[in-house]
Amino acid sequence: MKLITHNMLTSNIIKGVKNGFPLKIIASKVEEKEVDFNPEFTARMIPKIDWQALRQAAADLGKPNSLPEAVADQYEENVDFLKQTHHVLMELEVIEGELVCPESGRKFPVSNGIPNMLLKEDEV
Amino acid sequence: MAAPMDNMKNSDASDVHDVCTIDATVTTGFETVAGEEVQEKLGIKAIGLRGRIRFECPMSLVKEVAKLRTVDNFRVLMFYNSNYTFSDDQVENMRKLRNLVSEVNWPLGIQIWKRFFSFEHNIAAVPENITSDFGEPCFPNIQPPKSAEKSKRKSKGNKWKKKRELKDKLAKDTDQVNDKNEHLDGVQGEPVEALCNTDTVQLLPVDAKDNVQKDCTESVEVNAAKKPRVRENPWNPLMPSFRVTCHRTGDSHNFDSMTAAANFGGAIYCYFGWNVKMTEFDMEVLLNIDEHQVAVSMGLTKESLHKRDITTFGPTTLRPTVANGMLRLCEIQTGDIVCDPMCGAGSIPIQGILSGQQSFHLAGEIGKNCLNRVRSNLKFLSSESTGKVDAIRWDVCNLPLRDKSVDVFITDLPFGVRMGHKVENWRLYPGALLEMARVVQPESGRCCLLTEDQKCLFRSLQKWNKYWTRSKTLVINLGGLAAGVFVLSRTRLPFNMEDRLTMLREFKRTKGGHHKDSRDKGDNPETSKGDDS
Repeated sequence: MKLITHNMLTSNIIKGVKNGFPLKIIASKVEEKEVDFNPEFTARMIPKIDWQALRQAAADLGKPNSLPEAVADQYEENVDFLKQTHHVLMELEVIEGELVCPESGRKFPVSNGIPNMLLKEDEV
Repeated sequence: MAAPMDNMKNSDASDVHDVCTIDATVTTGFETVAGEEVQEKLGIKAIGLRGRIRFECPMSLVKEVAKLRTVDNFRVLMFYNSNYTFSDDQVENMRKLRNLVSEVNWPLGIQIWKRFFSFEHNIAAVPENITSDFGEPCFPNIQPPKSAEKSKRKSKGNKWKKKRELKDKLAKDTDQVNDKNEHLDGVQGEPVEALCNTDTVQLLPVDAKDNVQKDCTESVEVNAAKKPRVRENPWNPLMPSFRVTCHRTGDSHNFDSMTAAANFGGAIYCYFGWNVKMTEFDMEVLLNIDEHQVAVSMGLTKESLHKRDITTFGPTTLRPTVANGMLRLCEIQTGDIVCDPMCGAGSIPIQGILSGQQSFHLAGEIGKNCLNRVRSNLKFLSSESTGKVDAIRWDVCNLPLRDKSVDVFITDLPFGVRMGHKVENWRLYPGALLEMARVVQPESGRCCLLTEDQKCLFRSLQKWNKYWTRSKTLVINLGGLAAGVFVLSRTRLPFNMEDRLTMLREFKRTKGGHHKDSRDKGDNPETSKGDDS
């Protein structure tokens, strides 16, 4: 699971959970994989992602200072910034671990890089 | 290999080809979509026929045709007559068909064939001695099917006998021995072979020996291992092997495709002396007869291109060529987040990342086995392409995604034929449509669905027409099923959470037998709801 995917995941489908975002990551195995950098793609992703959640996720993976505190002004032309974002967004992968709902504490396992977000019947 | 002759515009010299006609088969219904791809990638206008597209391709671009992502098979046209007349006389028809061989533009077909395949020896585009004798018409399959049927019946009878035997263990030993003997007869199929051989020999004069060969390969293939057949025409290692495949449509013909293929193949043998081989052939000559149209073309694909990119197939894996057609319909832009919430073996996300668009794909599935297939299919892609996809296990009616986080949904819904259940679809379709309406971007969001259960989809759309409008519908032929491809666009209306709660309540109320059924089957992922974790 890449952090771009993590940035979209929420646990508010659980009954009673109002805000299930962002999920906390407890990773036991993280891999870094090189992915082609495309500045246009990254620039278009930035308005779609939740910046603070992405920073938090990077911190959960033990890389607290890999991103600046806020989105840079005129990020479209800021290649360094885009490269940093690209690295955190696309190249860090959680292979084994758990995602934890911030409200209910429900744990979702991640195995082989695939998070299991299925709920039990009584949780829906 | 002849060099492309781009700069030589010489229309009246028949042996200088700078343009050839390519026929490409596509999934029926996707002709326009495939035509657009040809226009976009090759800059050529294509004509859409039924299940095929036809376009004039410059020689220099022929190799590029193999890179088209929506075509299944393609071939180069060597002869075409749109107003071919067939007579009432069967023999006359076959004689005419045999003589047709001399009119076919073989040099063109062979020249292009050489660009895709190789043969260790030189293949002459024109035979050394041009023969005017194309052999006598033959009708190879008048007798053999009958005898084949007979032996089948016999063995079926045997099966019954055997069953009876099993039930009734008191049967005498002698009876059993008799039975076994009979059974052996049926398996060996000696009568078939004998009949077939005598038959064809009777039918064929000496000059059409090739048909003996052809006939044998066709109908005696099964028995070949038991009794080595004697080739009347020795295998010529200097010549390539070929087969003729005939597709015939129309009611006005007094012959069948087998007869046509046998006669045409026999004539090619007389003309070129190529070896006849039904499997693992070098060349495939395609004879298409559609009412009054006759086309002869040279096959340029040995296996349908729809099998590319997928290594692990599930029971209902979507053809990558169809997946490509659906992706094209959605007009994906750079930076789009594309999601297939019921991805099966992952055809759509895989084609999405291979099509070269800069988009991110989410591949969701409910079944464990399907996700294993996705993983093994992704493993065969290069690492740079897998950077643009992630797989997640989820239930489409409870997507763990933030509101408005996805741009495009593309999915192949379970039809309820091989996968899932038609009754289950009545829960799944509306549930999925509603959940997708929440997750997709209002106004700009798109959705492309493929299903055979169109009635259910129409009703579900009616239910949620405040969120979705249908912008395009294509009816495609998917392995004989009339399936519909629906392109939907999200309306401007903000999502109302009440709808979701009502839906969930409805689900809980109607939960019953069908739900349990799909759960029991275990690997029936697309329809069972999120319960087995």
